[in-house]
Amino acid sequence: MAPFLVAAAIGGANAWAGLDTPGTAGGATAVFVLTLLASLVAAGFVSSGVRTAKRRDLIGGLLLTGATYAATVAGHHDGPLTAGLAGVALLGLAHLSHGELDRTQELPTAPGAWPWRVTLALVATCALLDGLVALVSGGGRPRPGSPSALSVLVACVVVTAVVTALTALAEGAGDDPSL
Amino acid sequence: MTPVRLQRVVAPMLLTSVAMVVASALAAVVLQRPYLVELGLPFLVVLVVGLLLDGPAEVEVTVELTSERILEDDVTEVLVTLRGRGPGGRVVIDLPAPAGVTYAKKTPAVREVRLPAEGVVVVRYRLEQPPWGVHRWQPLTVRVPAPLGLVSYEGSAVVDAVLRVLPLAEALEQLARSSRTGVVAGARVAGAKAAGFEFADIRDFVPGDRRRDVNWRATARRGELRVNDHHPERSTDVVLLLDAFPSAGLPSAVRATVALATAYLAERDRVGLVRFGTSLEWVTPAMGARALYRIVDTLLEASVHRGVAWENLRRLPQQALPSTAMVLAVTPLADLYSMNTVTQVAAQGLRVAVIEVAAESVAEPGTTPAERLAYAMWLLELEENRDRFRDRGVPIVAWDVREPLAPVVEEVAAFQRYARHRTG
Repeated sequence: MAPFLVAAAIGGANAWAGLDTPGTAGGATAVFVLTLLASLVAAGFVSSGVRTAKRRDLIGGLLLTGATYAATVAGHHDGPLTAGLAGVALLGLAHLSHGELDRTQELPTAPGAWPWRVTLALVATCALLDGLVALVSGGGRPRPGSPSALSVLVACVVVTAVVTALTALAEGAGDDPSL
Repeated sequence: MTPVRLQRVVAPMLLTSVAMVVASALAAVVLQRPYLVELGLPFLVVLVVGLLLDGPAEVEVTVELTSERILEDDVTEVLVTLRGRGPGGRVVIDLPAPAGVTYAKKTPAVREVRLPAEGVVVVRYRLEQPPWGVHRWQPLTVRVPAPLGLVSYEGSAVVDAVLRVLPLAEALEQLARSSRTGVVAGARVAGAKAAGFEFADIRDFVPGDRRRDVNWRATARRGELRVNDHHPERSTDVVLLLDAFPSAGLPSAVRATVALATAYLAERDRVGLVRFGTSLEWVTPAMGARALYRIVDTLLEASVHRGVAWENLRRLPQQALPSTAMVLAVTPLADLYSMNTVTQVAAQGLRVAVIEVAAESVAEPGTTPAERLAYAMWLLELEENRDRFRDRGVPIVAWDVREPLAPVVEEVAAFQRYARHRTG
């Protein structure tokens, strides 16, 4: 229940920001309603993923919850501050839902796997990095000289490579053969 | 200590983090809004920090019981000793309790402990009044989570410890006795005449008689040497025949068998056991505490054997059922095999009595009319079985398990006395 509520709350906040979408009032309402529906669907996926222990549903639900930030972009409330807050909220949702998932799978899980010091350090680091991103991006609005298709491709390849390397590091045969 | 083979497992959180990082980076590039990276930035931080703090894990474990044999009312502890290291410095262990056994609330099955840099850590599981039987544990699950829960090291260790909980036995005083005694010294007065304490008769002196057996008064009266004859004290052989087919009455049957074995051994009789059912086990008649332990061990195994096969008594050796033995069968009379087995023993000419664990006391009639009808028919069938035993001269006494066993045993004893009186 808790992951559902948190996911719905994140989506609801984004939907609220979408009410300021410029144009007709009907358009803004449509963005609000659609985002709200999307957030409910996302919350349903997260909740279902936790209950049935399906990773795909869980990850899909989290991505869809993150995608509701599009309404904030449409409402022109986007920027480093709201993106940073949304990112931390998504991380909290992920941590909560994975904790619930462990309990669903009856895995021996220690309660409160993240001590408050760790959580505080994570939030502080994220705030620092968010600040750096905000400085580098200079406010965040698209500026002339936007990235070309080639740079998009290169960025995708680089990100995929980094993530693949990190995953391989985690999945690699790290077992001690002496055991 | 046994090393646990740990396997590195990627947690779903890692996959989620990867997905969020990729999605936010793509969104930032495609939508030309760099700050969208911040949606996935916390996940990237978790990913990097979590994987940097990851490291090898080694855990050694020992599981032992403070006492491997206890009585039903006793309390014992399982001690899990851990040693090793892990990336997070802590380990989560899960030791599920065997079926029917519960841990004390203060010591749940899943526990988190911190691994000390040196030495060992001991985790205690307190067992409160486990039911009688042989209890074996499932493997101990060991989980060493890496910081931030992206990766964990999981493994299991086989638990060799076996807990044997002995059933509490009711004290019995009046026991059914056999007129046929054996050759081993015991506490029963034998019908034969030999060296003993119980006076039997006076007879003429024959060379070889002991001087202290001379009855001087009778000698003075008759003018020739007369000596006293005595009955020797001998043991009797009692074989307890336990019907161990799985049924609701089995626990009570085992409890009754333990009570009988304890009482007969206390009276210095030789007691044996034949446990028939899905497996056939026997203990040849013997005396003393050692015999009791062997019998109880065999009885406890009755709680772990589950199957559908039936072994009849043909492969039973002669020593397990001596011809002089009195056989006490304890059975819930749950099926035809039980009847056949007891009848088979009685047909060998042994004196058999049956203590039946009354079905009415261990099984409740159902709630629906069909269940109640089936229950009534079952009771009729049991009554018919009892009549069959009586027709064959086998005394049978029903025992309501909610009542003490002693009156039932006294009734069996009365049957035996009546049988001796009738047959001489």
